Amino acid sequence: MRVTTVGSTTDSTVPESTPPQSSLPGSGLPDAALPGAAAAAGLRVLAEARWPESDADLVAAPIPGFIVSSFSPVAAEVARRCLGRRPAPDPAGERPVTAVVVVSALGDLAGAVHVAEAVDRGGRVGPLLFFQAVPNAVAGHLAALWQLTGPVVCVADSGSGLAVAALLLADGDADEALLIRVDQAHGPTGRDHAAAVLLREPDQHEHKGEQL
Amino acid sequence: MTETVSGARRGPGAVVVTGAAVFSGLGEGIEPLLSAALAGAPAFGPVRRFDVTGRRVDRAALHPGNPVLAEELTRMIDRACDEAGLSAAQRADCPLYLAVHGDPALPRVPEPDRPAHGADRLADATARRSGLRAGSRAYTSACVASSTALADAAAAIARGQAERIVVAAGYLVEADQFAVFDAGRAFATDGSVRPFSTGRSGLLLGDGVVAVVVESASAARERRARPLARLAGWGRAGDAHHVCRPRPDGAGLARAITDALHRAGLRPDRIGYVNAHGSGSWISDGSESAALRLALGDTAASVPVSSTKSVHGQALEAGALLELVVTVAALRAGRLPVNAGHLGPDPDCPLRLVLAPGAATDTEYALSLTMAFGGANTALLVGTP
Repeated sequence: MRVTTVGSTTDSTVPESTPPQSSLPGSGLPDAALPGAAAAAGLRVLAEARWPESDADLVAAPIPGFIVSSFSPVAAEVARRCLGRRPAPDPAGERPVTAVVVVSALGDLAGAVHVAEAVDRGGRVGPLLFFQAVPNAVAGHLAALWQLTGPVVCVADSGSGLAVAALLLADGDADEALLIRVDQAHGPTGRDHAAAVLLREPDQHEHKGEQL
Repeated sequence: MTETVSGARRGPGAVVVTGAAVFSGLGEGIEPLLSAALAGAPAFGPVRRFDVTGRRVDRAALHPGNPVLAEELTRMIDRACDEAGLSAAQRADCPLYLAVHGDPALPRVPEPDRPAHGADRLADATARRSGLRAGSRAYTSACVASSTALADAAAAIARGQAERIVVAAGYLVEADQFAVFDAGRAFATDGSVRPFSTGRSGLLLGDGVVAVVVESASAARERRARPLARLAGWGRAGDAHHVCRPRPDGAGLARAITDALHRAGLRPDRIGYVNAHGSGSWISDGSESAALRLALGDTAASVPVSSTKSVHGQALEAGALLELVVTVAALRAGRLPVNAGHLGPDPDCPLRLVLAPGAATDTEYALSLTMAFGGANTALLVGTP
């Protein structure tokens, strides 16, 4: 888990001494499996991204208003990469309505631990931690930045996230779904892992008989 | 504007609620909660559950004692399934959608134990204890977590993907969230929640543990279960505006309301009551008023509106489901919950607020609205059975 402060650009390099947490038992799908699982759920993957993608991915760029924890910066970075890789949209087409689905079993663990420690020692809690306690906050940051006007949903496992996305798309709540999975390191010696996929229904998917 | 284009779709199946149970700052069950809501009697009092030394605000709507989330969830699920008349075999076939912030123990367990304390594990353990099907789902999206879970359940059942789903949610006021809300100056400074009123100064937290059984109408008919309500429509949309502040023009919530009306096949004038989000925060209540005008048009000025948060507080991940249960109970009772804490009208909130107890209603349909951080908005449209 990286503890970052706004404006920080350096961090100690911690060698990875344990297997990637995203492939440990009980942690759900490994990052690399997310696009495959999406396809198996009947969804078209327009773009995908991961964190880390190389040894250079040590500290995600901080985002304004978020402090103490790497959870939101990592989520934002993997989303940025994914959205940047989407196929060029049809210039004559309308901007799609994009849902944001955040998947995380433990959520912003570093933030929660920070708050718990402050509460237990009777110390002050920083006011910025108010909104970042829930995954909606980074979803809202991304939604504002990229004009993602679809539903915002946060769930705890990838299978549920894909099922949620599939139904939102099938029911016309959104044209696309950005699914971001974040597994923050469990402690100071681990590494954060994240993955993002931009999803649509398959081509030629018709909704006969359901249009109201 | 009354007619907004909606691209919302839904499956053809009708969806009902056949069981409900609730635990709140007003006590056990729906009776004390409904009574307080109909009387406009707030449940806010001093926090004794944990140390609030040094906090600016020290009030919330707490159930007495130190309830344990896991235990209360199991009790409410069991009660809701009992009311629905579900056998053990039917429960074993029924998935759980659970809305929670997370496992309350997570931030304080030793590091090696942390993976075992995710929201997914909490949902699985809850399902197991209640004899529900394995493979549960946990929703963690703050105030819209439980309404999103309910909408997803309704959508899945409408499409025939499931016959019956238990939707449960729980938030018990605790030190960590209280501390961050207090630090963010979100709390009302005068001890009251005053939705849509002049002089409103913020929200107050409240306990909420709720469970409902959502079922296909045909499955309920087959086993002769009597529905408590119909889930006629649902909608969800994002503001794409800010990490925690809503769009001032209410466009996101308006879209959610429009989608709910569209899915229900109803015009705005069929809505006879709106259970508003109405957190009592200055910005949010103004946005919600704008959303109602945008989505309901002329109906916005005449439909009775109240926020029961003025009585039971904001129950975060359980709030939307708590408010839906109150709304259903009010419709069945033919009486409207009061918007308590009112000091005077706010020109930015030109709504027909329910200000006095005893207002009767024979309406068939009501809306229950929720807004959350990240610009997430949901609208649930319920009907009498």
